[in-house]
Amino acid sequence: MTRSLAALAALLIGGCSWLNAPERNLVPPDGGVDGGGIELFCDDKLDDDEDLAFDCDDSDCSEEPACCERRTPTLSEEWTAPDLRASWTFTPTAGGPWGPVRPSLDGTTFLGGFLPDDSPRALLSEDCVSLALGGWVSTTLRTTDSTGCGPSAPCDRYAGVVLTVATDSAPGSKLQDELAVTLHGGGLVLVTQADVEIARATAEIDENVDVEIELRPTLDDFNLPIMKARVTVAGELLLEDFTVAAIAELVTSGDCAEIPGLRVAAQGRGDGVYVGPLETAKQNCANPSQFDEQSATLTGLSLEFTPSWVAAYVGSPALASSRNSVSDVQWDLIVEGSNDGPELEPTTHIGYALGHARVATDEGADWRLDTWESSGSPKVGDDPPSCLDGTCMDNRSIREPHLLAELNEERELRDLVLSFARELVTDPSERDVFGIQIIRPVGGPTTSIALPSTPTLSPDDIPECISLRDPALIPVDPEAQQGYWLLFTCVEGVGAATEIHAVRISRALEVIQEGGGPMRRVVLVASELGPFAAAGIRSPEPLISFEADGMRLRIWFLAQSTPGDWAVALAEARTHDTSTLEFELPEPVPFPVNPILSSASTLVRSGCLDEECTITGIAVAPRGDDPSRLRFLLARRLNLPAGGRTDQLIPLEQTWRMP
Amino acid sequence: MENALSRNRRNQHWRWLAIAAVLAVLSAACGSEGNGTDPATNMGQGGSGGSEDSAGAGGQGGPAAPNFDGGISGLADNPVEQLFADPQRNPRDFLSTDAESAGGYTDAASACYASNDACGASDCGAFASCCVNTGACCELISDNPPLPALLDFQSCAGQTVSGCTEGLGSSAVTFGQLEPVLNDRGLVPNGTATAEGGAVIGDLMNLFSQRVEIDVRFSLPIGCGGTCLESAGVAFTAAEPGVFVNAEVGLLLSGSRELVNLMIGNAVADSFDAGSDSTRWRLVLSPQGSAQVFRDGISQGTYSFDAAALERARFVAFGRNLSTPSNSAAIAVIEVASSICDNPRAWSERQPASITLGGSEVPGHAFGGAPSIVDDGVRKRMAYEVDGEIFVSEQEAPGEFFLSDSSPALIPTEPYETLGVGDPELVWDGNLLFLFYTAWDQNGAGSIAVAVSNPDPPVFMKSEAPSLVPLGDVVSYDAPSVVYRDGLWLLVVRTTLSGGATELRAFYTSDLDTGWAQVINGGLEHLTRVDSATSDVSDPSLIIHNSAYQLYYARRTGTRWSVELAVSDELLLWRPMGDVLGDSDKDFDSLGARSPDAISQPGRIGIVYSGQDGVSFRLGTASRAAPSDSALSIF
Repeated sequence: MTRSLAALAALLIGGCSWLNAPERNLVPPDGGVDGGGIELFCDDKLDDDEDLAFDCDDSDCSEEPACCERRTPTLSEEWTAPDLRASWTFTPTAGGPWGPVRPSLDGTTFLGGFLPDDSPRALLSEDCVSLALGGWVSTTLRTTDSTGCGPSAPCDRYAGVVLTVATDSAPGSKLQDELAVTLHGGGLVLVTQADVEIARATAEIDENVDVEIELRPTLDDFNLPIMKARVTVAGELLLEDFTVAAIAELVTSGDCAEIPGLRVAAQGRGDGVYVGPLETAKQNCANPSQFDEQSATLTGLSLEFTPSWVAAYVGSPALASSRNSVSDVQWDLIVEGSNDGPELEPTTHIGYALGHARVATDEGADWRLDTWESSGSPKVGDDPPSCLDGTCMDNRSIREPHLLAELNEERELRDLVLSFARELVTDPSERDVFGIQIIRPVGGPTTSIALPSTPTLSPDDIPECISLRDPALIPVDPEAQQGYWLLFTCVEGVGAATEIHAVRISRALEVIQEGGGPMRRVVLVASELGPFAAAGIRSPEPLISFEADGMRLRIWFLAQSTPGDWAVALAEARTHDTSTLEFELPEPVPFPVNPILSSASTLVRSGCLDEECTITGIAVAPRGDDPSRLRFLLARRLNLPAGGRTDQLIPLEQTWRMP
Repeated sequence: MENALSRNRRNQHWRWLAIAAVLAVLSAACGSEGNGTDPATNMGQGGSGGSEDSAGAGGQGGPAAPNFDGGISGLADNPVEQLFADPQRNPRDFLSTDAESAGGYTDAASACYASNDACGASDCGAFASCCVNTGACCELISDNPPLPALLDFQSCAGQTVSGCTEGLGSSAVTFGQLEPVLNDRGLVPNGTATAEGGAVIGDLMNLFSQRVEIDVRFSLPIGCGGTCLESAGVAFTAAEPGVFVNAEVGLLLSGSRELVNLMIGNAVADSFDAGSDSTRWRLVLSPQGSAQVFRDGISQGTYSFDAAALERARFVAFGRNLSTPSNSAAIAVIEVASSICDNPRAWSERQPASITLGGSEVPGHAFGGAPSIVDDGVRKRMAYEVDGEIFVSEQEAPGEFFLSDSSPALIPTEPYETLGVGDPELVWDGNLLFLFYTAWDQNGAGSIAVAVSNPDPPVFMKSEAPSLVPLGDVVSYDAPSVVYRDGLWLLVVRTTLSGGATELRAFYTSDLDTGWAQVINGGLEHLTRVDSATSDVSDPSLIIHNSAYQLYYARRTGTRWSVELAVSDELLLWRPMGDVLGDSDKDFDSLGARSPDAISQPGRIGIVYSGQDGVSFRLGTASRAAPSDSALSIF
């Protein structure tokens, strides 16, 4: 099949253009791709790619929070410690003191004796258990005395496990239960929420009743993240697909500061009813919200850029990693900077330029602060790029770099491809119109780049966008022999952009045409992503990995729920059939628990004056020495004690089982 | 119309006039020391309670009707002329002749209720319901407005900013490295490249409940090239200006760009050609969070901003000027009009309630349930439920209540109260204090009963039988909310059906002796119907405010409670507002709120409720500004 025929076929098969991407709820069962496609949604009870494997049964989904089966224990309580008060709060704390009994039944220690029975009593975990990315809670319940209680009605003696946001209970009242599984004296098992029955079962007297609660994050019909539960009692599925709570309602303090969760409790009333060993676990699949902090926080000064062009601002980093000839790891970093602060933008035009720095490190090592080879002055753009006195009226801004490292089989650098936004205006009074420039080769830090006379892509090519910003490249094959998809933010008006588009670029860095214009797809639309992106999106940072059975595309991007409150979010797409990548990008699906990093995150706030920092950019690159380990560079802007603001580039790392 | 109101008459064996006479005797016997005998224990056993007349309109309301689908029928099937919240104000009088028919009325309401924007438009002024949550029907603040009506900075040339504003009856505090300058161009903020300059003007404003219209004229900088640093703007901020002004919402003239930026969240939301020195800019901020920009009277667009973040907003004139003041960007003239609107989410003074007896906190009573508040013109009283008994306290100050004695006002004594009494609802008819409540029988079925008292001291005498008892597929009634107006009693009550579903239903009567007639074929049942273990709707609270009904009720979703609001002109066609009082993220109501009971006051709505913090539910109070006489009038 010729390429054009293949393109036509792909378009016909694909059916709908990305320009008219259907709403997620309306996506047909095959996700628009016939056979060999992707299980687009891992919890929709559909075989999206028609490979006869539904949802979690499809290997496409094995790493997803909806399906991940690998567990990391977070709490394991066998009730054998001499003093349980170190880890458990005895509730109600306002009541009189009470002490449970801990009999051994069939060799297992149980917790019982919730006495006196004038009130429900519980041992409530001091620490919160992170569950928002998925997890499990399991225990064993047992009743040894059914006196006065029947198997079909609740009775005044019971014991069970409770998931709660509460830190205490009121005397005479149960803990507020987001979800509880309770065994009553007569053998009735009730699953409750807000103390209202959701499901029931019957258990034998004096036999162990195993309980497992499985929790999975997902999105509701409004793209709000929620947590759903599946409850198994004595090996029988009792409840499935039950909404426990919105993720936003979970505990976000203490041990749940980074991953929200719930407290767990063993609660009961009276005697003859028991709670056995209690265990909780969280998912051990890729956790996009979990970052390992690295030590070397960078600034314009540490990168040895001359203050003349970075004195007031450094941000929007681009990062690439490769091996060099002596098997060290080489890092290339390009940033935008200015001698005037971006806060002046609403008042006047601020100019920006790009600088390049490079460092080599040992395998697995962090980079250091003082060994960077630096371009010093701008690699692209003017020095100074900005002036407020009218002396540099002809300067044009260069902004928002992105680096794509093209590597050989030894992961040595074959080419660096640099893309950035360049200001295109000719009349000084009409600023802020940007197009996209792609440059290859990039050279070392001291190699200056002269701007070509025309941009690779200009707003003239895409009339609905008045300006094109935040470029990033995705190779369409492992060697990028067929070129790239160029992601960019389509600026349609004055406010924050709400759409990220993609245009096909050839290996020769030319725009591929389709139907009289650039071959273009809409990749992300803010209004379809959820409330976290309600006020706009920008700065896509894609990473594609080609595997034997397909490819995985992850796109980190900045999103704001309200103006100015930028956070880092993630969307992901997969497909078995990489041959279609030349013509179509699979639809990225937002991660269920977005944003993964916000200005409220400890990582972002730490070290900031009044704990107030603003996220200004994000870069991501797989390490040259270990592609499963991703290095992020988070740009943040923080207040200075004496007034004014400065910038930091915070290195973070993250391991993904599948690169 | 009397016939309609009497359709649901049934034989009752008690008469209110007789009870009132007994009360008068009792009241006299009690004397002024208030140690009267508990009427509940002295009243005779009640006869059989009233029930819905199966032949009348008080039967079941038919299948759950959508808000509007039942409307046309409902308008014909009910004495709607009497049901209007303000009988003197019939929306049909405002509508065109096309709307005379029930269908026209419903169509008009449907169009107006479709969105807040539609409802807030002037052609929807017929419906008093549209005064709520739209930024319409606002009441101009004429006494001590937070900002002066006119700030003509050009006329203050040569003065200080403080001197200028003081001369206009206001105040100003300047900020920045350099003092702002007043010259014939106006106020030059005089900020620098490293710090904003300007002045905070006037008093704090609550943009969550106040509507502001700002007219401003700028003086454009002279000789400003493409990169000059010349700006001047007006904005509201949530914090004191520091080095930077965080313009939550405002207008900023950029001299180099020759644009006026609409700033929202300290970012540029939109930009408009700056025009000339005579260009007149208007920014209209509504408490619902919409910012509308006009340029020389022509709308440039409507944008959203976070009004809730501006409950304590400061008005600033700010900017940066590197040119000489005589050439600088400046704010020439500002005109301001502010008014108070009914934003149902703009509660203030949320606080836990305390209940004392003899100066000491009464144990457990602050955690009582189902509060109800009433104002008899002399004092406010709050009834609440503790352990199946009802207490009535008196308000000492907002959030502070006291009991005169430790005895409950009402305890279960009757056969139909075997499992207790609860859900008190206090109503003042101008002469007597009525206490409606839920009476729980031995099967757990609720009926609505009533006791009546003279106001001082309140000593309640029960009716002989409940006035509304479940019948047919209704298995229980509970949580009554009652309004008395112009001889008409209106009741909203939670109804539990035999299948387990619940819904709110409305009833009316002009004579409590004759029982209740149900408002049929309206939208309330559909709006509030719940048939899921994970959700619940309860605790309705009906008030009439600013010529419209406001119905508050609590909804549970999972474990969280929140108070929702629906508004209506005639109890048939409802305009749902969604959550209006939910979690506060702190203190006693950090996780939610339920059991609302609202009270209409001049220019304000008060509310008592139960706050949820995950451990218990505690009584609390709040209030909000809400114009009470601003609905469009034909008089």
